[in-house]
Amino acid sequence: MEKEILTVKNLKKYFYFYSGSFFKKKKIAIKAVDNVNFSINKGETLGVVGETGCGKTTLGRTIVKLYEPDNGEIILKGINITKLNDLEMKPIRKIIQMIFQDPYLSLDARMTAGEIIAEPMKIHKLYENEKELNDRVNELLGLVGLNEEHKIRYPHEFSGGQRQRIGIARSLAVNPEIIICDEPVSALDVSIQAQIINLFEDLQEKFGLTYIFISHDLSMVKHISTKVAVMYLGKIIELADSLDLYKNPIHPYTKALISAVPLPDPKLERKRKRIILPKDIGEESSISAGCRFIGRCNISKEICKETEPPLIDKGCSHFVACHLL
Amino acid sequence: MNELLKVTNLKTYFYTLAGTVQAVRGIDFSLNKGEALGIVGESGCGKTVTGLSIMRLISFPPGKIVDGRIEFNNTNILNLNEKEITTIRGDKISMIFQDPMSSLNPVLTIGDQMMEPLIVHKNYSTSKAWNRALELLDLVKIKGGSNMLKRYPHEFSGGMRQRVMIAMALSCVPQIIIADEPTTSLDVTVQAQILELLKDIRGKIETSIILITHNLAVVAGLCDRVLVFYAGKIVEEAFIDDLYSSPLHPYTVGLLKAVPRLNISSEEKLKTIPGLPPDLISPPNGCSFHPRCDYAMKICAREEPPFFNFNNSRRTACWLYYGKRDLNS
Repeated sequence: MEKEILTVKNLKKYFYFYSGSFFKKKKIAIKAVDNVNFSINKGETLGVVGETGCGKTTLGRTIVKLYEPDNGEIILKGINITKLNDLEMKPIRKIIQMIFQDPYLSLDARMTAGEIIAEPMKIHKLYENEKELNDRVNELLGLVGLNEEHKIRYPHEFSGGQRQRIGIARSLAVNPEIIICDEPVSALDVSIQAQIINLFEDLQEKFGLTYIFISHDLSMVKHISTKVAVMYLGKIIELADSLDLYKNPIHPYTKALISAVPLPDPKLERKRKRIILPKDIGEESSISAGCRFIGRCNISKEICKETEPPLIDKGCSHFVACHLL
Repeated sequence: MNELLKVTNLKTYFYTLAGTVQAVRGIDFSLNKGEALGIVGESGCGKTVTGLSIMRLISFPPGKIVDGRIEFNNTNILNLNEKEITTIRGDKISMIFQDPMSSLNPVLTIGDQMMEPLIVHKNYSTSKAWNRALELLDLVKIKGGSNMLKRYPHEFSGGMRQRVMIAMALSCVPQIIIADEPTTSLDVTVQAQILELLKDIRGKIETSIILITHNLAVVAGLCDRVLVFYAGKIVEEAFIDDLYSSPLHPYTVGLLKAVPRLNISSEEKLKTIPGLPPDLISPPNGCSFHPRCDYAMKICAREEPPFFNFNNSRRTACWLYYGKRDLNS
């Protein structure tokens, strides 16, 4: 079973913008994803958590090559897909699919649900005749808890949860092995979130899918993931098995993040001591040579200012990037 | 009882081309002095409309408060004219809105916006208002003093903008603050900062808070009492410890089970509430939750459940509790 399906090595994605006056233009790089390494085995779920602007969405989009990576390697089932062009990527996209955050924006408003789900199969020419294609669309609708009547409806006729189901059916259409889910439930109501999460788990059992689950909701990530990566300003700062990470967080940021999540239990809430981090993530725009977390860290020392801590295994494949622990 | 606000049979409807949306369909509740009341529910359950109705911010058309009373210090504020309500709105009752990005005016400096309620309601001079604004910045823990007041909203991060909104809501020392999803658009670590700030302020200023949110965990940390809304109605009311330890209404039970918990690890699947919330243009007959309820009986589809009251000021609108006087028996 232990088979690596996706390996990401030293992945970098920078965005550039210009600042300063017309004559003294300065090119500034936003290091959205900076030297990210990880690998996932088949059938696993890797949760990626972090706050706004930590690069988790960019990471997802770079892996499916919606963004061209600046550096590093993406190896999918033994094939290095980093340098492939759009045409060469086409067969690869049958293996790796993506589900987007906003179910209101990620469906074409002028296509019916049936057309949306059929489109990837038409592009990849999976079925010879209309009838087979039609049957497959019906099957997919059933899989995600919709029915045939929904086929002729347009996206605006569906609720948010149902739209997300259409998005899931579309990504399943080409029988992918790995799906990148970018905040798939954060736009949905609590009672609907649980429905979609259970759907993800059912589909994983049925088809042996591998997920990369990107989310800011730590409780949800804990529930669904086998492994969790915590990102901060473009870097993975801690990576471990889900149970291990939530039980024994090591990095001061992970500790603060976990303690910041409010619990739906008033008695525990009153007892709990929160670690309150100073400042917002966005307030430190320039990243110095040292650790990125230094501005908000409560235990930082001299060494943190000078060198960047590497991601090191602290035992039991619990990886942490911090000098002091 | 120090009853500060009493809402009786409030009904707020919106008249749209598709039909009349019955956003709030007859709710009763009261708020005591110094109390923090939580209103929880999903999108479209009428929680925000309730807040806006209390502020008299429902614009006609399309919206209208069609029935009910909202008594604030024993005056029905629904009978006040626009001029009279302005003496209450922003002064005695103020509101913190959900989206700190769009609720500040982008072309005015933070200082101008913070001084406005003080000048309008308290007749402060500009310099006095400026000094008060500085105090407020200090209260919401924004460092930098007068330098910060000269800045524009786009120069502030989301968390800082929400702090400014809180400072503005506090500026006239209101008797009630209505906080509508104050942390929803913020990151967890920033959410923790803001919640900590609200708790801190509750200790310093004698003010009542109505906290409107979809997040059951946020309510658990801050409120004394909770109202659970579903489809424009209150389905359960309880003190927080009671609500979380023994929820009564099947919807509350479902809602609490649908969220994964960070403190409990389990391999089990999440419990879901099947189906979707009802369309409020034509809400279902009987109990509005019955199409999604696991315990629905015949009567649930036919007749709307009244409130069943229990000790410790608990009540729930569910036929399962018909004839039960005591929860322990």
